[in-house]
Amino acid sequence: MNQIPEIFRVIPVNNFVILAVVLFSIGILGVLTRRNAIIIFMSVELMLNAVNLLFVTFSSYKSDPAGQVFVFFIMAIAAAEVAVGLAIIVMIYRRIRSTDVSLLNNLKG
Amino acid sequence: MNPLYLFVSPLVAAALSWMAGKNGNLQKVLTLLVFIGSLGILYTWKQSAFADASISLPWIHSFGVYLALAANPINFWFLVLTAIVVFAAQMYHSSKEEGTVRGDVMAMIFLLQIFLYGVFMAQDLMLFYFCYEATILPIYYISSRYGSPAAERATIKFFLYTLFGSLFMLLGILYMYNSTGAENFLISSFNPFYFSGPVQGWLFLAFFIAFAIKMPLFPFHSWQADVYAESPVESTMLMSGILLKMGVFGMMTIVIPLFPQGLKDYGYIFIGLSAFGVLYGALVAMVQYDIRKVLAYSSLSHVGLIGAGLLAYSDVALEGVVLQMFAHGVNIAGLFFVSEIIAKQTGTRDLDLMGGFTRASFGLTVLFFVFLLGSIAVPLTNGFPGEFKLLMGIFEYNIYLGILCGSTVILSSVYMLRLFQKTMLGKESGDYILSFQGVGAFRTVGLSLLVALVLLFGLFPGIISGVADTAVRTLLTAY
Amino acid sequence: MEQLLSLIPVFPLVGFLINGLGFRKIPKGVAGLIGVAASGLSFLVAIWLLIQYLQGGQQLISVSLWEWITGPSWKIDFSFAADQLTFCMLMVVTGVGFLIHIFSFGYMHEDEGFGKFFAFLNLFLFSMLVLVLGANLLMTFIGWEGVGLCSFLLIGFWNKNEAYNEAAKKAFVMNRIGDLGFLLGIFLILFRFSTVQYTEIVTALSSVQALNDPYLVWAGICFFIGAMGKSAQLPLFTWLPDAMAGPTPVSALIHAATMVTSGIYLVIRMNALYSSIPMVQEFILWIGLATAIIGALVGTSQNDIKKVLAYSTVSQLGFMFVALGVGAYTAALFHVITHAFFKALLFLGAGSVIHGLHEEQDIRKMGGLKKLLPLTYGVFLVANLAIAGVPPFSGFFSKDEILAHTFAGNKIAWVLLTITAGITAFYMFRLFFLVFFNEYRGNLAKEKIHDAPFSMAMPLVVLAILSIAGGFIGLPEVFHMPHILHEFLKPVLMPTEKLASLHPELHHAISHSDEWLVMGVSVVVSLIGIGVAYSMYLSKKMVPDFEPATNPLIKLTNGKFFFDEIYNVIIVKPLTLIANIFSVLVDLLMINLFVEGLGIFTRFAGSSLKSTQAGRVSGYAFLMVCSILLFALLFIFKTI
Repeated sequence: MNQIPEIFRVIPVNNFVILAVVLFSIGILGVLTRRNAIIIFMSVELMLNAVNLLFVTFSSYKSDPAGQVFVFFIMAIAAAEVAVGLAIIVMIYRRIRSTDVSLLNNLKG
Repeated sequence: MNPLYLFVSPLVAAALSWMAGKNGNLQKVLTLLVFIGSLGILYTWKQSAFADASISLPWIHSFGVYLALAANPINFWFLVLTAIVVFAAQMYHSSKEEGTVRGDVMAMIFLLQIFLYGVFMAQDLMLFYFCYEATILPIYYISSRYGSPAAERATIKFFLYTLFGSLFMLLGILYMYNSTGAENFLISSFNPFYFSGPVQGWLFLAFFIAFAIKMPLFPFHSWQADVYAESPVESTMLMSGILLKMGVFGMMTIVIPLFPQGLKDYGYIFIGLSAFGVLYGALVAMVQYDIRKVLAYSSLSHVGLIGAGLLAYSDVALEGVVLQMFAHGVNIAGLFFVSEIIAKQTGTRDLDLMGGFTRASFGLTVLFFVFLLGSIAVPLTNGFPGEFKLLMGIFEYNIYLGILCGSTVILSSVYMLRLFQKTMLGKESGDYILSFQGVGAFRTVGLSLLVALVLLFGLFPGIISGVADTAVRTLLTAY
Repeated sequence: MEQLLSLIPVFPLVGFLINGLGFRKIPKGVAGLIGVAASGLSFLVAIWLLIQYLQGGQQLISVSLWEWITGPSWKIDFSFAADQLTFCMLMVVTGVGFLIHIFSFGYMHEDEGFGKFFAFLNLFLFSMLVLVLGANLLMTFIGWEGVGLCSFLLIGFWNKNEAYNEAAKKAFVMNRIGDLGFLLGIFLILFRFSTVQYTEIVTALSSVQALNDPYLVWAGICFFIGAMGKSAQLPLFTWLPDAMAGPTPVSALIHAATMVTSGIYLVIRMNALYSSIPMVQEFILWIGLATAIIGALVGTSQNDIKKVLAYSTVSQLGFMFVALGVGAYTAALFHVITHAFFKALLFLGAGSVIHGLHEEQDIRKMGGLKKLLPLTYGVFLVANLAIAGVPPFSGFFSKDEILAHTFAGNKIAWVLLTITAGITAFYMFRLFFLVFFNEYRGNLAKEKIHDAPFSMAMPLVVLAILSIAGGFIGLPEVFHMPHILHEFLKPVLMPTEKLASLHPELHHAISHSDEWLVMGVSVVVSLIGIGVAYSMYLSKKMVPDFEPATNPLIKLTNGKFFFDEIYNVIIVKPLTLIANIFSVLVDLLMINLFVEGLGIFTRFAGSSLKSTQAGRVSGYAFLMVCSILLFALLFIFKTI
């Protein structure tokens, strides 16, 4: 079992972290700038996966299984969130006949 | 007797009158019953020299707020006046034409009566504040729903302006609670020695702002004219008759005994402003053409005198305050009542479109004239002893302020007689004289009762003074 | 006996209540009867009490009914008291009042407000009685304001006429200016002596030795301001001529015989105070003199019968104050009494003329009424001779006494006053000749002009008798007959006597030769005045023009020296202007601006913050991200 960390140490942990950060940023950019609701969702998923990657990375590098357990939590929650979210998007689509979130401004002050 | 008994009849009557709805006769009966009941309880308290007329129940235990109520010589006449003015307002409303009597208005007035009793009897500052704020709600309801089209705007202005002032009072109360480390808000547990000089000054200003806006004193009066003019007359009678006395009461029992240093530091500014307000109110009343506005500014003038007397804070002046606030309440309620009868009949509030009403009803002329005499403080009416003592107290404080306030003697006769002449005398400017069906039996009896009070307390001010003088002496020597 | 004292004002009060509450329900005759009976009963009780008083050695009668107002160190009772001064006033008020009530019964018979009139008249009588019977300053003040109120009610009796209402209001407001002075005087006395009871004030003042104590000077001035308002002295006199708008019995009762004499009563009552402040007495002297002169001058060119009499009243009141100014209290009271008789007679006579001519009041349209209204002519002649100061009518004795004391006190004042007396004779006879002599100049058919009916004639005759005989209560020393009035009033004037003995420089003696000189001069001057009037209006038969006068002197006097116009410019207009400025500028703009400004500011703040709620989802998301970043940073840097 101790060998697994050794092999991982070949690739510096920073690479994984940078990758996760990049993925996260792409996700955030997507949430903030995209107008299509489904794309926003995909970006949110991307963010979640970035976080997943981070968890797995650190769990592996520290050989602490807690991180990977947490990944399962996140996956379950992501799935639930997608189910509910897509249901809401479908209902909104039925209302405004479009997935463009910039059309949702009834709460404008 | 437990003070809570005073709340029972208005509470029950509120519920009953809501259900009674448009039934004028039932409303009249309820009015009379509550009036007699309240006076009865108050009378027994007076006879028993207020023995066990107090109660103190824990309310919000963690903050030390108590439901502490007590009737004592200090608030006795305020309570009596509440009963009388509420009776006058309800008498007006319940005797309106068939179909225009509203149960919700009557219920709201009864509710107001409960809060008013609470304000005057409160011995706990939080309870005092609670009831003080709560009185605005029924008034807001009645004024904005049943007033003239411009009423809503005027009432919101009144509402916000009063709240603005009360905010400072709340801050003051909380500061008092925190700084003295008192475990409760009971007024009796506070003491001017807890607060240093400058602090007393700030607290004085904080409370004073709230009460000065309520009374109102010049220059905090700009909400008054519009609200009095546009609201239905029931709420105007209540506002001018009794609500503004809450400010007087607060000044008398909380501010001045507890913050004497503040009074010394800042009192002179406000007594000058109040005295000026006497002149100002009288002058502006002289040139108004709206019948309600004349009475509103006259009220400003009279209350300015009361305010100056409060700030002069000598025993004569304070005795005058009690006498005059009672007289003013009765007189102004009567005046608004009569002016509404005239305005309703002539269909307008514009003085230039009225005249000659004495030929429509001689009885109404007489009633109007007696209230007028009380308002201008002719001896043998209730306005005189109060004004006499107030002028004496202010004159003692400062001769020039005394003479300035004395201008009310001259100017009050000018604007009141102008009002009387334009409405009652002269030639009529319409055909409202012949179509007048008379004042009505219930209203005549009620107004005659008020007139009797005007004359009674003019001849025997000792009735009030007998109770109030001991109160005044207690307040002055408390600390 | 004390109870009877408090009964005297009760009769008219009850009369007022009955007639007032029963207005239009009680038939006219009954209402009139109640009114007349009330005043008559008061008169009878007053006479009865006077007899008791005289027989009982003139002990002060006093009764305290209840405690009215109490203060920390003082109390004021609702109490009545009667001493010699009170009885003099009481006789005049109830006696003349009773006669005028009877006169009104006939005069006001046609009026539909008959019952109301008697109610108000009774209320006035009640107030006046409280005034003179009051045992302390505040009781007098009750009556003081009460008579002002009744004056308002009665002047504006015919309330359909706007001009009459204005006159009534003017009377009331001007009176109130004086009332403020009275009140301030009461305060000063109360602070100093802790009492307002007359007997106690006299006692307290008796310990005052020095003259012109500043505090007391101010008190005296304040009370005099009150007197100025009530007794129509300069500058507060313009309400009196306007008050002629009321029915003539009102003018007779209130503005000739009773109410306007209240000021003089007050000063006599407070003689202990006034004698110790000669400075103020000097002031009173000159004000009274100025009033007398101006009143007389204006009276010379008035063309309304009642206006002439009104200005004559103003002038005669000035005479009385001159007397007070030189410390001749008895003379002043004497003139009050005689003036009540002949002035009431003059007014009632004028009422008879007006009634007979069916409401004509312009003397240019009268004339030749000597034959048409013989009774009125007769009594008018008597009254005129009295007011002109022709012996042995009552007016001669009282006026002469004033002139004599003035001569001793201040020679210049005496000269001016004597000239004024001459002018008085002139304009009164001018009136007399224009109304009753030569040819009738009016438009009415002569058959329609009728003299006074019995109810009106009877009081006229009684008053005429009093105008003739009334002088004999005050015969001067030179006739070696007792001055009844002076003897009677001695106890009341004791404080003055005491002060005079302490400060001899105050006392002005009148030698017998001076007395004869003054008497002679005054008679001569009166005759000259009558003579000039005779020549102008009887011999040359001059009649005043209907067109506005061109002669500047007549313009000035006819225009009442433009006092009303001056007051309008310096007081009424500026006050109204200030009131309007306050009402519009200050109230609407300045103060409301603050309150409205608060509202506007709140709304502005609200709308600017509104822009953050743009409704854009991405915007909200961005905010969320930023906030989280902020928290994260905070968290990181906090732990470091």
